Formats: sequence, structure tokens, C-alpha cells
Amino acid sequence: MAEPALDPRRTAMLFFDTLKVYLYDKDGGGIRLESKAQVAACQRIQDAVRAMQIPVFYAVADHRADGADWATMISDNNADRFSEVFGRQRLRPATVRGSEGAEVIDELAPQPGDYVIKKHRWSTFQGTHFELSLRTGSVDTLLIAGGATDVGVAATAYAARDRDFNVVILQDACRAARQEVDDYFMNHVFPRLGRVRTVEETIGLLKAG
Amino acid sequence: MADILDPRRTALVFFDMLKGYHYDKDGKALVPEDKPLADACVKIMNVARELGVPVCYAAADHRPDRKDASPVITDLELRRPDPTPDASGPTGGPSVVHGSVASEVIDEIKPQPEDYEIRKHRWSAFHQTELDLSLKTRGIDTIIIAGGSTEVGVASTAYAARDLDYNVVVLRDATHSGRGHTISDYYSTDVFPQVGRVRTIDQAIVMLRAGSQLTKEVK
Repeated sequence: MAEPALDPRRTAMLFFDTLKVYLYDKDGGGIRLESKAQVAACQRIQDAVRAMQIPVFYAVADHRADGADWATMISDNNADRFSEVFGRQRLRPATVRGSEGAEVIDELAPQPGDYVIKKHRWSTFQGTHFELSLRTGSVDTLLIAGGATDVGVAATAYAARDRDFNVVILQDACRAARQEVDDYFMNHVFPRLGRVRTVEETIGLLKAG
Repeated sequence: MADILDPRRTALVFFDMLKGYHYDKDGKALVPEDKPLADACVKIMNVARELGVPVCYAAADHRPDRKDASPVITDLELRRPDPTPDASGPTGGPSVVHGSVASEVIDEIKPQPEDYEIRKHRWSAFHQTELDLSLKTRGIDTIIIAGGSTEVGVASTAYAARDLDYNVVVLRDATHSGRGHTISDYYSTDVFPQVGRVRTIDQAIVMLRAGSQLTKEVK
């Protein structure tokens, strides 16, 4: 099967949790050293999609400061982040609403007309208007950048696949906490549910479309 | 946090344990290499039934005319030889069609009248099915998942369950991948521990029995 081009009129860009808490140095020194290449890749695709009038979505973690909406599921990892809030054991999120860490990084700052999706669990689709916004915009293909690859990006990609959206994972614009985890998803998981492409390849496919 | 499972709030979900995936070409008997997996499923099923834990079967359900097949473009599909010799492959569309022997749950864990048979049309057992409603109305907050493939439907279901605030317990020795053990091991080690808990069948049984004992004492 020959690879179809990407039609900019049917494609949307999603920046997933490209937040200051994840990508900025804690000491106020700007982008973390290990995130510089990823952010540069995000900026390249941002410039390209904006030039083509492709709608830009941001999935942004949004949690109440009082903990009433924090996740309650029990997991093996992150045991130290569970505490009793509102009568349940709950997972303390990395950011809460209104904190500086919860902002999208300045390099990818949302512009008027963009879609900012406040999400409360991992998947961008869960309990949000994301699907409605994509459908009413006649979008059938999602470009995904951000992180973490194995957490929210994967949850969103699995959910998008089941909703019949074509998924293009931007390999160099995504990141997991560990490189080997990122590689694993890029090589063994995402090729089954969509396409894995670099930013440059994706721009080429969009120009062809 | 006590590592136990309350049988009154727990459900067992078998994922795509179908003849089309685990029986020989004639659909008559298990392929020998899947015998340990079937045995593992029987073991946990028996304990679940004994303790009154509801048993759910998420089963792929596709129209023979492929009108409900997933249309998405994937790398695996793009890498296939063109033209596709047999359009009914695992990613080329539904390999188990509605009403076929291949679409039946394996006889070893045959569904009983009181069980839940969830007909699913995409990977996740929650996507446009009655699974969430069925569990919520029973007060279930925890699901134990067995079956496969790990990185496909099991993972998709586990991610979805996590976002729906279900506690997820993945059975390390009762999940499998069509692509081999390494993939299941990878998920059990590096992915599922942040989605929920990864346990062996024997550990899950101990947890269920402890929960059962506790509820008896409370009574």
C-alpha cells in the first residue's frame, strides 16, 4: 500500500502536556537540557502547521488543588504519591490548576483560535470535548507530539485509534522518561495503531497533501 | 494500603480468548502452545466463580462484509505486500467475524448464562460497549484482566479502565501477545505498574481470598 499524503484540511495537531513542569528546568533556567531537541522539533511542526492553517490543540493536565478530582486507582508505581484526600486514596498529580507548572511552555504558547483541552485523566478523549471538536472540524487525522510517550500519549493514541482517527506519532517531538521506553512504543506499539514519523517526514506528507 | 481484592467489587475480564486465536485451523482444539494460557485462565475463572466474582468476556465482533472494520492507516498495514493476498488478516480487518466458530470463546472457559459477553468492535473493551455500565451498576471498582494480545486490546482496555477510575490488575501469567513473550513481559514490567497492579494468578487468588475472608469477618 502506497503511503497516502496528509490532507491539511482533515488534520489536527495535538501538543500533549507540553507543560512547564515537565519541560522547564526547576531552577528557572528554561528548557531542560534533555528536552531541548524535543522542544525544537515541536517548534518546527508548530511553525509548519500554523502556516498551513491546521488547527492546533493542546492537551493540558487540569487538576483541582483540593484533590477532589484526583485519580483513585491503585497502582504499583508512584506509591509515594498516594495520600488520603476526600476519604479516598488518591494520586497526587504533577501539577494543579493555576500553578505555573501547569502552563504550556512559552515556546509553544497557545494562540487565539487554538483549542486548549483541559484533561483530568491520561487520555485527551476522557471526559473532554476533544472528540466533538475534532468531528465538527472534519478532522480524521491527528498528529501527536509531547509526552510522556508511554503515559498520556499512548492513552490518547489507543483511544484515537478506536475512534477511527488516523494517528501520526511525531517520533522526535515525543518523549518518555526513559529513552528505551520511548523506543519500545515507537518500534512495537504505535506502528500497529498508526504511523510513526519524524517532524520532517510529516511536513513532507502535509506538503504533498 | 492493604493489597487485597474485595470479591464484591471485583470483576474478571477475559480478553479475546477466542477459538480464532487459540484453536487449530479447524476450530476443534487448542493449539498446544496455548495450553498453559488456557489452564491459567481456567484456574482464575474457577476461583472467581467460587467467590461470586462476575466473569466478563470481551470478544471481537465484526461484520462479515467488513463494513465495521477499522479504517485507520497504520505502518504495519503500509508495510504489507500490495495487493494484500488475504484481506482478513489481523490488522487488515476482522479476522473473527460474527457468528463464526473463530468468534466463539474457547470451550475451556465457556461463558455461563450469568456471565457478561461484551461484543466489542474496536480494541478497547470499553469503547462503545456496555462494559462500563455493567460494572458500575454492580458497584465494581476493580477489574482483573487476562487474555491478549497484551500490547493491543489488553493495553487499550487497561489504559481506558485507568482513566475511568477502575483499579486494574493485570495477570502476568495469563496475558499473552501474538508477537511473543517479550512484549507481554515488557508491558508487565514497564507499562502496567503505573496503570495498575501486575500480579500472578496465584497472587491474585490470595488477594481475592483475603478480601473474601475480610468481608466475612465484617459480617
